[in-house]
Amino acid sequence: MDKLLNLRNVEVIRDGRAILQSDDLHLPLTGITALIGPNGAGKTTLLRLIHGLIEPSIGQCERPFAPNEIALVFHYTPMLKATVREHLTLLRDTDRTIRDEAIDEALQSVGIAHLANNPAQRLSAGERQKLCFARARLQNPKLVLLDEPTANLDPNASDDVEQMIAQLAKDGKAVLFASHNMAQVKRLATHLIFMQDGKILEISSPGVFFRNPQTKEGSQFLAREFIAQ
Amino acid sequence: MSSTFLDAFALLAHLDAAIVRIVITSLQVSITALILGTLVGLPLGAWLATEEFVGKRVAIVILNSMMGIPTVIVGVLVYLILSRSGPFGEWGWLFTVKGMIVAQFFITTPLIAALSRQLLEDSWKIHRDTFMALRLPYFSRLKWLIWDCRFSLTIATLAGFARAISEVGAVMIVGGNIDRVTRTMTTAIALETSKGDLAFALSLGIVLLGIVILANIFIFVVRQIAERRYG
Repeated sequence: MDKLLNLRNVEVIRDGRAILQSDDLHLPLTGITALIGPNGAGKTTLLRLIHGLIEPSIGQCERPFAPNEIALVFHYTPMLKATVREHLTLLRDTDRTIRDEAIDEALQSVGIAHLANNPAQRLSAGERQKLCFARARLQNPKLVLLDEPTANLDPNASDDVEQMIAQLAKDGKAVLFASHNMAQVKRLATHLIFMQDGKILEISSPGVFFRNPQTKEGSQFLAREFIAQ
Repeated sequence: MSSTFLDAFALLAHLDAAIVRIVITSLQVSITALILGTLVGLPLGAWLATEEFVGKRVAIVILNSMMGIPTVIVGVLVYLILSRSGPFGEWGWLFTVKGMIVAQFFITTPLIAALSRQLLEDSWKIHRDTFMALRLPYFSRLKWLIWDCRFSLTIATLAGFARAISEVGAVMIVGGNIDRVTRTMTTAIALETSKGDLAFALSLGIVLLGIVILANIFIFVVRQIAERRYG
C-alpha cells in the first residue's frame, strides 16, 4: 500500500510571503518520485517540510514515516575539516549501533572506500555527493529526499548518482528527488509532482505528464524546458 | 645599555634560580587560567553561536566589550570578592596563586568566548542545515562544530594565553607580587625596573617574549600540518 504524505491546508510563510501552499493533498511516497517545477516553485521547501527540517506556519503535515526513517541529501553539502570516514562516524551520535563494518560497506556501495581516510574537503563534487549518499544509506531510511542531486555534476558523476538513486529504490526505499533535468526524470521516476509558485499543481506519472499535462502551467513549463534543452 | 643586555643574557645563561621560579609561577598561573578559560569560554562561545534567544545581541556586545576590559578592573573586582570582607574571603585565596588564577580566568574567558563565538557562528551558518538534516543531538552538533573549527580555535586560545601571560594589573592587585610566592614575570619586571635592576627586568622580558613567540610558532606549525592533512 502506498505511503501517503498528508498536507492539510499547509502554508509555509517566510518574510511575510507564502512560499508553499496546499489545500488538502495526499502525496504518494513510493518508488521514485520526481519533483519538478521552475526555480522558486517551492521544491526545496517541500523537501524540507517532508523531512521535518521546517514545520508549516499554518496547517498540518502528516508524515507517513518516523523522523529517523527519513534522510535528506542537499544538492551541495559543505564538508567538515574531517576525513571521509569521520563524516560517517558522526552518525554514531544518533545511532550508537553503527559498526565499522557498516561504514565500510556504505563507502563501498558508492565506490569511495579507497578515499575513507582522505580529507573530505578535497573530494570532487561527484565524490562529495557519493559521500552524502553513503551517509544516507547508513541512516537506513525508508524515505530518501534528494534536492537536485546531480546539479553541478559532470555527466559521468551524474550517471553514478542516477545509478545510486535506482539502487536505493531497488533496496525498497522510497525516493523523492527534485530535478531540473527532464531526461533524468524520464529515466528514473515512476511518479511525478509538478509545482509552481509554491503550489502543487499536478500529481501524476512521467509518462502522463510529459504526454499530456493537465494544467496550463504544466504545458507552459514543459514548452519552456524543451526549448531550453 | 649594552652592558645591561649582556648582564641579562648572563642571568639567563646561568639559569638564575629567582628567574626560573618567577617563570614557573607565571606559567603555572597563566596556563591553568587558560585551561579553565577554554573549558568555560569555548562552550559559552559555541552556545552563543548556535542558539537564538531574546537578548542575544546584547549578550554578544557585552561579551565583546569584556574582551578589552582593563585588567586592573578585573583585579580590583576579584580583590573585592576574595578579600576578607568579600563573599569568598573565607577561602583565603587573596595573595595566593589560586587568587591570581581566578583573576586571569576572568580575563581569558571572555576573550576566548568572544573569539570562538565568531568563528563557530561562521561555521554554524555553513553546516547548520546538514547537522539538522542528520538530526544530530545538540551536544553532538556543538562537538562537530568545535571539531570543524579546531585549528582556528587554537588562535582564540593563543590570544587568551598571550593576554594572560602578559597582563600585569590583575596579578599585581590579587597576588600582591610577593617574592617566592606570587611574583610573576610581569610584576617582577615592573618592580625590578622601578628598583633600577634593569638586567633582571630585561632577562624576564626576553623570557616572556620567547614564550609568546614559541607559542605562536607552535600554533603556526600545528595549523600548517592540519591544513596539509585536512585541506
